[in-house]
Amino acid sequence: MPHKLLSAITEIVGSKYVSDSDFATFAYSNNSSQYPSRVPGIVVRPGTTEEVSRIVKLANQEKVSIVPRGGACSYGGWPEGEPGKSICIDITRMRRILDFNPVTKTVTVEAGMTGSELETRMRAEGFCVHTIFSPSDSVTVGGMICGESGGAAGRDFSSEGMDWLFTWGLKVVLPNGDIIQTGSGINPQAKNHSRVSSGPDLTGLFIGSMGIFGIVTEATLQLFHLQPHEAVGSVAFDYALLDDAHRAMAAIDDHEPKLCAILAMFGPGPVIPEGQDWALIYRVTGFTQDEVDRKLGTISRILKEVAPSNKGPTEASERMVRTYITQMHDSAHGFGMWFMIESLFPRDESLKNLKASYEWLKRELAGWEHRSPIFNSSLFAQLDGDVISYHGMVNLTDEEARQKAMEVQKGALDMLLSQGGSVIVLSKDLCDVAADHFRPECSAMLRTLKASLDPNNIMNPHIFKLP
Amino acid sequence: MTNESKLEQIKNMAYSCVQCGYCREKYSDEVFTTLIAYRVCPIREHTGGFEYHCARGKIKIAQGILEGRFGYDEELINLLYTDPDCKLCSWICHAEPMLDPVTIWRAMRQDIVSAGLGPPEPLRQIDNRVSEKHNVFGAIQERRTRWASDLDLPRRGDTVYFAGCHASYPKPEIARSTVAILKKAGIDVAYLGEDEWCCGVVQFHDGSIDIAEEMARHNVESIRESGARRMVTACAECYKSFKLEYPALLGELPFEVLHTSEVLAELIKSGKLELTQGIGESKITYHDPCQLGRYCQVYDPPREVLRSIPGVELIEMLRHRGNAWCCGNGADMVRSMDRDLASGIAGDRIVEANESGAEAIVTACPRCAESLERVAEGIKVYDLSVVAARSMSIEI
Repeated sequence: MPHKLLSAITEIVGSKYVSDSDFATFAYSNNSSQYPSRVPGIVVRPGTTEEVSRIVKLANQEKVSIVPRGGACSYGGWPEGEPGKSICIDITRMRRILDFNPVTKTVTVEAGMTGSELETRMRAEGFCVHTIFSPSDSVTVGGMICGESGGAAGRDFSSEGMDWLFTWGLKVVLPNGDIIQTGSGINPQAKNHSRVSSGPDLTGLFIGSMGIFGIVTEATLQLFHLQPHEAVGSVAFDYALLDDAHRAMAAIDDHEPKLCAILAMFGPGPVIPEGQDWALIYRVTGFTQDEVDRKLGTISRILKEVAPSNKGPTEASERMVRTYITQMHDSAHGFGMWFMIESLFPRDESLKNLKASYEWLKRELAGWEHRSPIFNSSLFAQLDGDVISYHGMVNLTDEEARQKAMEVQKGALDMLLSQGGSVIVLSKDLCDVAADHFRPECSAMLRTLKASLDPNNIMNPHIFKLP
Repeated sequence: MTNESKLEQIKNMAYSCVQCGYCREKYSDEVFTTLIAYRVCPIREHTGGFEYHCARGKIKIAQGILEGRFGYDEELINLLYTDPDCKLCSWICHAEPMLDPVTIWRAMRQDIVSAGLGPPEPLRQIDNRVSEKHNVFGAIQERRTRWASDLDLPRRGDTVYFAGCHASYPKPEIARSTVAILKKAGIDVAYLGEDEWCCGVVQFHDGSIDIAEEMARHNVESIRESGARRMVTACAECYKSFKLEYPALLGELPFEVLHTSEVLAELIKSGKLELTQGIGESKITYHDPCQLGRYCQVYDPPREVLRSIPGVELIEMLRHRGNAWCCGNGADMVRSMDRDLASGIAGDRIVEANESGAEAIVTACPRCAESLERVAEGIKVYDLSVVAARSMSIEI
């Protein structure tokens, strides 16, 4: 039985860009996560904001829910919409650069372009954007903005991410189909060159929104001059010297001007036997080689003064550099779906929470070491805070392990949020965990906003525990 | 013997995809050092571009099949067969070799054939031609040897040249050039004549494994009977069949398998062969055939041969070696299923070659040469053996 909107959507985008086949919709039933498949009823790849708007108006008219989709690289569950009925709007066909202004250092890009394509194109012009750490090749600009991910390849510091700090304006299709522009472009006579909008910061409403208030179709982003010189490095610390490693990272990150574009420490996961090292890894960039060398010299000095217990680079720490900074083709991916547990803490609370979460995970995963392993833990320095991060793998053919991984991922996040952390990468099931930690007044405000903007509740429903 | 479907046999592989999406777009191999812009899937770029047009979507579909969520209907079957198996997604995949996307849909095609649901008609016709006439064109087998009628090639010898269907029928200049070069290098080259059958490459890919096996057994037996120690071919697809498919099916072969490019590079290196004159064009680029490059990792020998040609500058296209763009043919899969789609993919390659500033594209596969020639504008297309022969002043 064809989807009831197949003909109408075909009229909007043409038959080439819409499908309701069983296999087609199933291919859109998940993201990079181990959570169960949630199958939409029809998938469409619009080519313009106007087409998106027409589809949204149609959905309103027929009261059919919409699930927007970018690169679908989140790892915490795919939005459910209305199973078997929703319209999945895949924005990846919209991938043009609409405006590039080297004077204002801004680029306006369609939201379906991947962060890495944008970075590649801007590099050719001598600029860079803040792209996300991994998997940067597939994540779209719209997904980064709405899913709140981003940033670890920033210019002067790890910035988690370009969405919060470097998004100047957005074009959004609201749930009623209206098209708005945020940022300075709120004034149709003005350029999209600044977040300043002569009024409330509407841009912020959509960042990290998971698309519940509308579909972002264009974004104007800040650019930075490309620093063509760079170096990577690492030092290792004995497993028992976690405090030393963290002190070293904090001291390097505290330096002004900032020294590193990426600064992180990686250690063994809670289910891997103790005895492995912590690796402090970094990437340094500069406009001249001399600048890079001076930064490297400063890092060496800080390490010597603050953490003389470091062992210098080791084979293992250099492997971490290759895996997590230079992104080698053969970097570690394993036998199954990967998942992450991530939460941002202020610097002065991150270490104790890393230790607490490590112990929590160790207890939770006892007996599951080989079926649902977490293969490392890490701290990323971000804006005078640290992102606690655990990476794991689960074999999807092992149903019990899959269930366990979901339980642990949600449980760990719940525990971290209870300790004062913030979620930094959003996806459906993790949003639900996060919503449990919202102040009641904030949840009420979200409900009011959602009901007001989306009275038919068609736009990505059931996120953040909203109806 | 198991009753499991081919897909069930590789179930773990089908579930090892992390859905990272690198098989759709990958812009940098080493994100912060070498930025190489490319999109990964030629099918995704020339169709509606849905998830199911690229590897991670098709792998998800394989999971759906395994979970019994849907079966193979005509639309899905056509989707699975409209794929060049160019292996760029496999090459790009971080989980490779644990996960080889092409292996997954080759298994699905075998299941489709086993269930009597495929291959689709255009490929079924090729299968029938190969089964009945032993060549992809359905031509009479006697015509296969016409290119060699005046060459007096022995049936037995240390080195057997395996021409393949394309060099035997529409591209005889490749066969004649190859043989002439080998002879000039002092190699007593033998030829199977009418005992040379199609290598079965299309059937290996379209899932008609019984036909492929018949071809494989016959060809291996014929070469064994010739007494050859080694087999040389100028066709990337024949090479891949002998190098990878036959041993996987029949075990270790009793002879060495070489591509012409490997033989020529070695002869040049050892001084037994010299390329002495230019070929007319000074700037040339090399198109890596998928089946020679990504499948068999033969990247350097053809380049070494081209660099040996006096007055020739070898220019690389943006995408080359492991990330080379497909010619669009893909073991006849795409060409048979959707001619326009195949031409569009080939057109990308021509644009890329033109953008490189090259005056000619050289490749090492007759099928690639044909695909590129069909759409070539502003640039010439040559086969490696033909170019090498010309550089040696050999009249074909």
